[in-house]
Amino acid sequence: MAVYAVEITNRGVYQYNLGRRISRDVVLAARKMGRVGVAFGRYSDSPERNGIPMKWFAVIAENNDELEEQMAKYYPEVVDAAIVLDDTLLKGVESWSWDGLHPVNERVKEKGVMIVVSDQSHDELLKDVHTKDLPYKLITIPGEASFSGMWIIRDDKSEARIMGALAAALPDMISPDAVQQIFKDKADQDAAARAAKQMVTRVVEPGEGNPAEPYRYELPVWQDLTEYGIAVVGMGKGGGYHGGKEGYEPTRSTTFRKHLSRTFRPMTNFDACTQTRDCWLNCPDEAYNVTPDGFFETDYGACSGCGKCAEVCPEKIIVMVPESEFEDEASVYEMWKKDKAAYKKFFDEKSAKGWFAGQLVGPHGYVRKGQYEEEIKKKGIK
Amino acid sequence: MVLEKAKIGEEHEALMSGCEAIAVALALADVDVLTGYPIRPYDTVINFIARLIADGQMDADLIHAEGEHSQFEIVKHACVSGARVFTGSSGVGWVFAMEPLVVTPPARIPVVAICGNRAVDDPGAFGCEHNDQYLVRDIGWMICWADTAQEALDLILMSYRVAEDPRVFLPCSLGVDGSFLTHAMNIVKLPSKAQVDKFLPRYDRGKLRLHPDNPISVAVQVNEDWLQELRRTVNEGAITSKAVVEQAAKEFYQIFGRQKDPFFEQYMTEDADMVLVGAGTLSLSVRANVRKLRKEGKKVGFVRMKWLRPFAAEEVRECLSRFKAVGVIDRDYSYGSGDFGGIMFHEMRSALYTAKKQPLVSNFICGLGGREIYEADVREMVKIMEDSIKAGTVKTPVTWVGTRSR
Repeated sequence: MAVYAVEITNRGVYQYNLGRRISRDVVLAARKMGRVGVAFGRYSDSPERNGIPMKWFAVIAENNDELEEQMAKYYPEVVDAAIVLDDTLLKGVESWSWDGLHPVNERVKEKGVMIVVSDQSHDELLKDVHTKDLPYKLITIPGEASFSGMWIIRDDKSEARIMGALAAALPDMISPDAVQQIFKDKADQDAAARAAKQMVTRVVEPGEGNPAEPYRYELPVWQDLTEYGIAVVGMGKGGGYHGGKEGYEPTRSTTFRKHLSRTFRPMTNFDACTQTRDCWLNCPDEAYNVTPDGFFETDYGACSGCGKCAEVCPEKIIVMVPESEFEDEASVYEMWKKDKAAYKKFFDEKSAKGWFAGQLVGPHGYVRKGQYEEEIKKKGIK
Repeated sequence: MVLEKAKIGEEHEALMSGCEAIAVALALADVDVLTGYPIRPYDTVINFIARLIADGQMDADLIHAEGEHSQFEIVKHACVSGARVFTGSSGVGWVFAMEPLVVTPPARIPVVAICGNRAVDDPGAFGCEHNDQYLVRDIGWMICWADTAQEALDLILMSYRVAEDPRVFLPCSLGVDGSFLTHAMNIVKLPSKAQVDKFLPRYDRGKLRLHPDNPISVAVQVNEDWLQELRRTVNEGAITSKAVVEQAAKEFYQIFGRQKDPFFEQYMTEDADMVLVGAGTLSLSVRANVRKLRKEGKKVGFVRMKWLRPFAAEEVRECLSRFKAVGVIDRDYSYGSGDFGGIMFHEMRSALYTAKKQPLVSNFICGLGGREIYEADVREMVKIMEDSIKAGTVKTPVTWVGTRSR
């Protein structure tokens, strides 16, 4: 019996088609090897919203009975390969309304692989990826989060490169030859073959990675759902900053958090802030707290990284910085309050990697006009 | 990039979702008028139809209605004027169309629709439940359920054949489970246009066609001196539809080699003591777990219902009375009904009432809101049936399986 499963984690809308295509390619390649398969997305992820983490799966087997056996449990419990299309997803994903944070490597089986598209080093990535108690292989393919599933954007060969790497890592599942067969275009075939050489592999031992316990919550039994059980209980009025008398902090849900939908987070240059309140007024997620001295502090647990604050700030002093630049969600206001010189250094360092209003193309992935073309040119992708 | 363009009309296999397979069936059936209004999972069919039309692979009028009510009204009228039509919806969208859904059968208009099964609000959810399609169970719609993308394609062709038969002229709805069928991409065998043309004649409404050359009134106002007889004619169509389904399935099997059993499909029932009965994609999990339980020596089988209207009572009776115990799986509910069971449970138990030998019938409500049906759930169902057999009576007629409970 040979049954294989592949899971693809990507961000909604702009990587929807790329994820979908990869799941299909796995089945199409398996078909070239005489196998059968199914490709499907996680239904509860949809309607796919921009930037929200979502998943695709491909399950392949030698025959229909074996496939049915595997599909009896629709969403596979273990996968041979997990593919992550955006390295900011490595902090874990939270599905639409399940039970908390799920590590991206959660389903990877012993000696399975996790393929990540990233320019970061393995050590850097492992700061985000949660630990597992079994060994697996971490494979990186150089590149940034690809937009190439969108028809308006030029194909950067991410699809072919991922399939090439997958075949090189697990040739029993998908042979490199089968991958060559499903791509009709020579450039795709070359990209798939090139990825096998470009990819960097490292064994991740048990216990390696981010040791933090992912947050979870218990789903209630039906008897605990009162007549108000299916209604979301309204939140209280809120009050002073951090429970004090001054300032203002709205009450926020401790169950539904938004941080994992984010590829960028806002950072305020408090030294230049004139307290216009625009960020606080315009934030669609009410992610801003008012501090006793009249500044506005982002609660990173409530911020979905939409970039609205940066866009509306008349002083243009809010910068959107890639999420992968941060290890925690500590308040930057408190950092500034404690040591202004240290914060200035921190802010300058991070903002060099981010964008200010006016440079905006979109809130996720490539943010400057022409950056995508530069990227393709730099990597020599034809 | 692996670029694929659907080849319509050639016999070949393709990797496609249930919704895409339905769209291909519609293109092969030369549907004239289609209407859409966005709701998951129905809208995926229309997305694909739009692409087929844009690619020049299908010639049809696709109308974007301003709501589900209009969707069903538009196709109803187009169908009276002789067009082959298609529409559909899901969950509360389907419910919003209830008025045109009700008036279509008595006017004897063979609209073919899909009900992309989705939980009816509240709370808002898009997982699969069968209550939406069951809402049209009693008003003259024929209803059936598919369990794979392949079967969805097959049953669309079957639906046109049966609905447009002048002896029937009743609308038909195909139930497709949201997610499990509509969105999972499987390898589907697409038939050739020649095969489809051989199976499916042109829609001919004859004297009932609304046309300037044939001025008629449809859907008139009547009183008690007319209505009962009119109802009786609809009933006659519904009665006749059973034989028409049987005949159509027979010919379908001759041409395509599928749909051998018209109303339901039996799996490992030959020597079974107990069987589970259900409709839709829950078959996937049940079949796999039946195989597993068989290896442990438990004599379990599975009967998958396809057509619920017309309901093949005689065949069901003959089939199910062979077993010691029958467990009906409902992916639906009928709040406050007898024994507080599900809809199909009542259908089955009622059909078995006049059987010479009656099995012990119990009911399992599960898989609501698109929840998966796991191995443990199937084991629990079998355990309950075993207990019934041992006790010689049904102690718990209805069980909510897989519900988080104390």
